Amino acid sequence: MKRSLGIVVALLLALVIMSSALVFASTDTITALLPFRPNTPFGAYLGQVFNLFEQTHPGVKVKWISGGSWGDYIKKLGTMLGARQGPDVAYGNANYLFVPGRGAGLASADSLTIPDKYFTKDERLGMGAAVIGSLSIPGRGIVVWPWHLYIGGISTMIANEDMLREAGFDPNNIRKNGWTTKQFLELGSKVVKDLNGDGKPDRWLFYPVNSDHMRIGIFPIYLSKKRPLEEQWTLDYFFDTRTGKLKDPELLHQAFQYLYDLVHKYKYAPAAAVSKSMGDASDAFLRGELAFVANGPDYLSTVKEHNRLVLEGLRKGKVIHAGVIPMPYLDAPDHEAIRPGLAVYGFYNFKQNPYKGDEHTKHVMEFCDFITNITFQPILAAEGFMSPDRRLFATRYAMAANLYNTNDPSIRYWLNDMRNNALPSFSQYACVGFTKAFRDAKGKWFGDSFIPALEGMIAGKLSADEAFNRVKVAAEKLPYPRVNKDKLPAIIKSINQLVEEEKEESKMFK
Amino acid sequence: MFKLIKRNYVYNEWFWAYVFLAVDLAWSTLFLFYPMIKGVIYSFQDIQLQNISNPHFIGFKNYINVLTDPDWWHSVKISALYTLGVVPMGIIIPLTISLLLAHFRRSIRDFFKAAFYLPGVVSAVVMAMTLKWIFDPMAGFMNWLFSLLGLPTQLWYSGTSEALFTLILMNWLSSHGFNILLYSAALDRIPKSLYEAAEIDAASSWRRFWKITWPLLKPTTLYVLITSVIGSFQAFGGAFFITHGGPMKATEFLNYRIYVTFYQFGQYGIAAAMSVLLMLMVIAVSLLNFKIMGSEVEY
Repeated sequence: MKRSLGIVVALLLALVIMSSALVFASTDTITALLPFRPNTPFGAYLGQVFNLFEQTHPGVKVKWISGGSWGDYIKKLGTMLGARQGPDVAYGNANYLFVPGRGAGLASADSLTIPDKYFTKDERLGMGAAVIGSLSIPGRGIVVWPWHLYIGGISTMIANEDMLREAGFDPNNIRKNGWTTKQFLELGSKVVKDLNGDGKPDRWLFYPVNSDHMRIGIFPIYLSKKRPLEEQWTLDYFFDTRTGKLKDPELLHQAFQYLYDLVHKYKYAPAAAVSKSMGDASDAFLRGELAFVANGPDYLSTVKEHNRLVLEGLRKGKVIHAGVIPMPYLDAPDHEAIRPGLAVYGFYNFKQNPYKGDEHTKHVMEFCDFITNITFQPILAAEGFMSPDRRLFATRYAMAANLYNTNDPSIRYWLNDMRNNALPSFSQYACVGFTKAFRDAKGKWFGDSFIPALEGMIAGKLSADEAFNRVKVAAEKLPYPRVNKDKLPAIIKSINQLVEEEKEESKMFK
Repeated sequence: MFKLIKRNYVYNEWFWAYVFLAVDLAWSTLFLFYPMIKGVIYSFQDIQLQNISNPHFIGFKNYINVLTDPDWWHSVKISALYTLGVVPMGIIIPLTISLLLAHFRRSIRDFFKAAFYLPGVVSAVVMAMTLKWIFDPMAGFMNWLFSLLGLPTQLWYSGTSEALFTLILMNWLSSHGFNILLYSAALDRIPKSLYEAAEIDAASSWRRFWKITWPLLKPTTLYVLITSVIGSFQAFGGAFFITHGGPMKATEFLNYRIYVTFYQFGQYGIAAAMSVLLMLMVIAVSLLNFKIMGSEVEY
C-alpha cells in the first residue's frame, strides 16, 4: 500500500514538474520598458491593452519594466542595451533611444496650436516626411508608430493662462506672434504679488530650479540668436562643433545676467527655491503659485487630472487653465523667435542582439501590431494623441513597411533611403565630431561647473559676472583636442547633404 | 556506504555547521562579495555607458583621475564635515536620553524607546519629505516658528552656507532611535551594586558617571561610533531627496558624487574607483577608532 502510494505521489510530482516545464517552455516573454507608471491614467490604459494581448495570444507574456522618471528611464535603457539585455520594445523618441537616424525630427503640428510663424513653408511640408522618417531605422529595428507628439520642453513652457489673462496678456496671441523677454518682464511685474499681505510674494513667475532655471532663465537669451541650421540642430547648446570652443561667450554672459536680474533685481523668482525639485515646481504650479513651469505638454494631463479632482471636490484648490507657450526671445536685431521643437514619440523595437529566434520576433511584431490596432483608436484620440488617419497610415505602411513590401512610391522611397543610408542625426554627428576625452569632460563640466555656478548665483552667493567667469574658466580648462578633425569634413558634408535631402524630400509631399 | 557517510558526516557537528554556513556564504558571495569584486575590477577598467560591452584595463588611471579631481576632495571635505557634525551628537543625544529614561519606570521607558525608535521604521523617503517640509525655506514649519518668535527666517537647505548644517540638524532630529535602544540595553546591564558602592563612598553623580557608567558603556560607544562614522561617510538620502547635492555643491557627499558619476555621467569605472576609495577611507577611519577607543574598552 505504502509502495503504491509512493509511486502515485512520484508520478503526480513528475506530472506537475513536466507540465510546469512545458508551460514555462511554451511561454514567450516580450519585454517592454516604459516610463509610465501603471497607476497613471495612461499607464492603466496600457496595462489593459497588454492584458488583452496576453488573453488573445496564449503562451505570450508581456513583461512591463517600469523605468521610473525620464532620467532614470533613459539611464536604465542605456545600461540594458549596453549589457546586451535590451528590452524588445521601449517607449520614446528616436534621439532618446540612441538611434543613429533622423528620428525625433519635426512632426506634424496638426493637433497642436503652433503658429505658422515658427515653421517655414518647406518645413511644414516636410513634416509629414519627417514623421515617416522617424519610423524606420535600418539595422536597429523599427519605431512602431508616431503616436504621441511632444513639444520640446526646451523651447516651450507651460503657462497658467488665467494669470496671463489677468495681467492683460492673451495666450493665443503669444502663441501666434511670439513674445520677447521685455514682455516677459512686464508680465512679471503684474503677476508676482503678495496676496496675503504678509509682505512677501505668494505668486511667482517661476521657480529657479533644475532645470527651469536653464529653460526659462538662460535659453530665451542664448537660443534665440540666429544661427546656421546645422548649428541649431546639433543639440550641443554650449560648444561649437567646429572648434570645440564655448560658442557666444558674451551672449551666455548676458543670459546669466538676465537670470540674475529675474531672481535678485526684479525678484520675480524666489532665490530660496534653488534647492527645490522640478516636482516641487510642478506642485506649486498646481497650487496656483507659479505662472510658468518648463514642463512638456504631457504635464497638461496632470493639470487636467488636478482640475477633475478639484471639480469633483476630491482636492482642495482652484481649477487651472494651462497651455503651452513658446519661450520668449531677446528683442535684438540678431535674434529671432525660438521655434518650438516637436518630437515624435512611439514604441521602438530593438534589433535583437543576440537574436532570440524567429518565433520571438513574430510575437514581438504581433505585439507591435496589436498595440497599434484600430480598436484602441478612440481611447488614444480621447487622450489627445495623434489623429486616427495619421496613426492608421503610420501603422499599416510605415511601421511595418519593410514587412508589408508596399508599392506606395513615397513609402518605398523612404524605405530604401532609410535602409541604405543609416545617416546619424545632427546631434549624433556632433557627438562623433567631438573627441571622446572632450565629450567626457564637457559632461562633467556641465554637472560640476555650470549648474553649481548657476545655483550659486541664484542663491545669492555669486554675482552674474562671477558665475559666468567660473563657467568660462572651467570651459577653457577642458582638454584639447576637442574636435575630431579627421572626421569633421565628412561630418559637415553629410550635414549639408542632409539639409539638401530634407528639401528634396519635402517636395514629395507637396 | 550510507552508513559510512552517516557515521562520518551526519553526526559531525562541523559538517552541519558548514551546511548552514554554506547558505549564508552563498548568499553573501552572490550579493556581496561578487559585486564587491566586480566593483574593484571595474575600478581598473575604462568602462562607460558608451562602451559598457567593451571595457578594457587601464591600470590605476581611474584612481589618478579621482585623486587629482578637486571635486572629489570637495566631497571628501563635505563628508568629513558632516561626519564631524553628526557623529558626536549621535553619541551625546542617545546617551543623554537613555540616561534620562533610566530614571523612569519600565513602562514609561518602553514607551519612549518605542517613540524614539519609530522614525527608524518610517521609509527614508517619507522621513526626508517630512524634514524637507519642516525646513522648507518658503513655507516650512521652522520658518513659521521663527517668525512667531520674532526671529529672522532662514534659507535652511537652500542656502549655500546653511545647507550642510541643515542636513546635520535633520540628522540630529531624526536618527537616534536605534542608538537609544543600544544605550538603554547597555545601561540595564551595568550592575546596580557598583552604583550602590559608589554611593556609600559618597561619590557625586558626575563622578559615578565618569568612573562607572562611561567606562562600562565603552563597548557600546565604540560600536555606535564606528557604525555612525560609516553611516555618515555613506550619507546619501538627504542629498538625494532634499538638496540634490546643492546648492552650489554644498551638500555633495561622497556617496552622492559616486551616484552622479555613475548615473549622470555614465562613468562606471571612475565611480567604481571612487567606491573603492570610499571603502578604504571608511576602513581606515574605523581602524583608527578601534585604535583610540578599543584599547580602553572594558568588556
